[in-house]
Amino acid sequence: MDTARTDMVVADEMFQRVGIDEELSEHLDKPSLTYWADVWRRFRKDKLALFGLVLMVAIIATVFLGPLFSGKDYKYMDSSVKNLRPNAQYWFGTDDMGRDIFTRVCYGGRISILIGFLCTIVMFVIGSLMGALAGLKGGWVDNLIMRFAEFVGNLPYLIIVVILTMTMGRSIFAIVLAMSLTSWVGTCRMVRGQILQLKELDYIEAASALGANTTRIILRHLLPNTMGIIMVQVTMSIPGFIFGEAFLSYVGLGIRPPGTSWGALASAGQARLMFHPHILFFPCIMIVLTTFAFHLVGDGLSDALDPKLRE
Amino acid sequence: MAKFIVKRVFYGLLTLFLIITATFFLIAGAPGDPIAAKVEQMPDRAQEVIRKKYGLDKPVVERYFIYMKNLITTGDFGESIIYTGKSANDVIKANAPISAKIGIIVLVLQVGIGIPLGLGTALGRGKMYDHMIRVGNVLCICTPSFVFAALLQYFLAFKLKLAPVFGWGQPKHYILPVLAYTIGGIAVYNKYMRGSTLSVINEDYIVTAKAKGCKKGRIVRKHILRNSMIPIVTMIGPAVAGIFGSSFVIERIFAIPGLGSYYVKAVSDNDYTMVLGITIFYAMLYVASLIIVDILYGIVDPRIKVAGTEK
Amino acid sequence: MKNSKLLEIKNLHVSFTTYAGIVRAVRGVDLYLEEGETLAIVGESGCGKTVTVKSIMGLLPEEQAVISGEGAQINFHEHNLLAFDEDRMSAIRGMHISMIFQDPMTSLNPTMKIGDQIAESLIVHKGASGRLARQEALKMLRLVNIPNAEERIDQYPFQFSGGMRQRAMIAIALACDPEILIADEPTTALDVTIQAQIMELIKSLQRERNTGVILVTHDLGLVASMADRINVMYAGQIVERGTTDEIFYDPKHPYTFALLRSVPKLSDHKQEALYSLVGTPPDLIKPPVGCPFAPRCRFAMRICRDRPAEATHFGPSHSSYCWLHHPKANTSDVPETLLKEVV
Repeated sequence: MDTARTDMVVADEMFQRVGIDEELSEHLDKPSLTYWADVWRRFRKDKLALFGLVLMVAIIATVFLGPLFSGKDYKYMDSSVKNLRPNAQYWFGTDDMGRDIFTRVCYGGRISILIGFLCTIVMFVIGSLMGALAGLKGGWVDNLIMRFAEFVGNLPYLIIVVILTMTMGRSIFAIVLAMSLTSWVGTCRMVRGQILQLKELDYIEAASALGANTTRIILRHLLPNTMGIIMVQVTMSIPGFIFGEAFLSYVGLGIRPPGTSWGALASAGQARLMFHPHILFFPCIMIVLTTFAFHLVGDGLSDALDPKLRE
Repeated sequence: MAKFIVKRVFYGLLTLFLIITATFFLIAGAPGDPIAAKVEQMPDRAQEVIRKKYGLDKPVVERYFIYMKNLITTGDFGESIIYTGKSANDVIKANAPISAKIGIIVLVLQVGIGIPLGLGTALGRGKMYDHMIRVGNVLCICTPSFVFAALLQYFLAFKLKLAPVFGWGQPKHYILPVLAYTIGGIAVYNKYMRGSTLSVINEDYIVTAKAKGCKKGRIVRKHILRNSMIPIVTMIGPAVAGIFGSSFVIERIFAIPGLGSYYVKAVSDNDYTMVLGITIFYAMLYVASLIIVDILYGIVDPRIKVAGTEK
Repeated sequence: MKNSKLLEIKNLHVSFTTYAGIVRAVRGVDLYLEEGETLAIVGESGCGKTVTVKSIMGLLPEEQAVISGEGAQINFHEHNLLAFDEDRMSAIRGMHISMIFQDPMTSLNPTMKIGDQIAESLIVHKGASGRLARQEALKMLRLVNIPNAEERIDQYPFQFSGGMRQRAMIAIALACDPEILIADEPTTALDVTIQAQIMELIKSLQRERNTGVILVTHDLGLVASMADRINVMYAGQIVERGTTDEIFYDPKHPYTFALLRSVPKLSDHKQEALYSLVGTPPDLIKPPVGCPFAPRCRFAMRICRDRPAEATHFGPSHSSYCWLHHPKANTSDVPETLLKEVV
């Protein structure tokens, strides 16, 4: 035997038999984190996403708590203080009717954000129900729902919203309903896809072969499986709805006075753009900052949920 | 392929039929009598005449069949109830070309700039310019076009006097609306193209191409480009339909007499027949663009092209 | 056998930067390939065999992969490929060294005709005109036994079955008649019946063209009829190398032994217990100091965990890295095959 060893002088006890090392061979590389702790750890690393989260919380807090600090009413007109630039008393200035813009932006923001959240909730409820029905029932029910979803998905969105708000009256309710009725398709496809995937899993097939009620098993696994995608979809769709409402109100088809929203405020400010640009500036900057914050959070979240996407 | 197109056209016509029907009954069932405001002051006999003229004395279903018959046989979109004698056809003929001119310029710019930009940032992923463009991109996506419009009006037109603030008729009137409308779209195309290209870059067949000895330029031209364009094609379709007037907001801000601004006006005027007519016109464009997209898709993606001929 | 080393890898180290840390995927690999022979690299998934062959082709992702190692070399005809820039590498790829991949379903461009994909390397390397390249592609399709080649040449990958796609991949790889063909798990994704056909095809084309083949696989059974020599890899290192006969009939490393014994054989009438491997390969972010297989080795000694084993040579072509071959080793219950001297 040709052993090309450099040192033959290894202590004998080094050759004691130790055998399989149970601990080392079944090693766990990292401290085991739960899925969500891991997601949060990755999310925190993303400075931009964290910034987005802080910004989002700050905006929501301002919008809901701001009027308490400004101590003004959003409808109160004071003709002695028309079109004031921002100052110590009127933080964002006043509008052409002498109303405090800061307070109005807060009130408008509540409506805009509320619409964003409501639309998202309605969208998810309709989408999940349709998707679950299609996925669980299969067959002609699935076919019918998916054809219908394809039809709705192919509708020209803004035009349908215009028609619906026109025929239902221009209330918040009508706007929310119109926007969510045209946008549930994505959620429906997602939920259906997840259910079909779950159905394929071995233990579910086994359970159904044994005659168990698989619907319950599937539904129990559905939420944990889809939580991640749902959270990304939520953060991405809220700014979409805020945008949609802003456009509608901007062209005068959305929220009507005395109610207001960021879009309606911007629309009113448009007329005064040349000489009092601040009236337009503040609602606009709020829309931009809010959508920006939601986008950053959504991007960060989808990266954190799927680390493969990073590189 | 031919069979595939026939199938898509059939689905398109079905969608169109459903949209027209739904819109007709929605508007017919809208709260309030559309004609009431107009005829309030008239004696009963005169009211009767007007109702008869618009066919409002007949039941809804019969009106629907009459409307469909006129639409199909003579292409008649209906007549305004507010402005006697003005038909939806006239309005479309007069206003749609204006919207189309802006729309085409905007679309060409958006696609022409957004797609190369997305490809470039994806290929230079992680580089300085990629980060910079991405941040700028998120900001542009988060900014509604009416904010861009306001910024441009205020700075370029009002402060620097480089272009007219609003108006229509001369080439210089194109500058601001086109700019305001284009920026957001570039960002959207850029974002999707970047994402699509990144996912193609990670495909196994790109490694195959590299293993074959293709250089980077050839890999991009022959292997990446076509595959990453496939999902983008779906976006271009609705955008083509948008050429004729999804730019309500821009048209309104810049006082452009396009179809979009007329549509919004008809909605605010509660001019039901006009809204119905223009909606149907939009729906037709929309459906036509979906068919075009499907055909384009077939050209770009051989799985559809060939499967279409074989079956 | 001709004795010219076509390709020689010396002390190759490859590490990847991941968000979890630096993964040392390949840790000091030496190997060589001679003209016209077949070398098999065998090991579990994640042992670094694919990374090794991809580094020959320069196909590792540039941003994350770092090739290092003192005096690391990948010599092809006396040229160190590691010193080549992208341009010179792309002249080698597909022309002199080709590669086929594991999954034929994803390795072909879905929007490009099969014929064009085969013709591409001819156009790139030989500046062939479109018509000439097409004729060549047709010839290649026939060579890899694709029926109705005239019709198939204008079809897209989705119209091909898995086995036909892998044939097309082989046609692409061999279009320029390369000196080396690297086959990375070429049949893993295919049905068992197709596997044999594909291996047979590679074998016959190799003989015809005197191509050197590096076959990467986890399937020892596949290797038996195909390979001239086998290198067994574990945790980024080669643990045993030898001719196919030596590895199959005379394994010297407990890991090789375990691999062989973990495959049930129909012909084996001896009531030898199936050897099952316990545990998982080590985490290559923190590679073990000693022998990487020690934690899973039932014959492990204290030294195995402390120091990497050095090579023991059992013949001109056969060597193994294991402390059991040290004269002082405790060999009381070690199977005889692992120890017996070969004359």
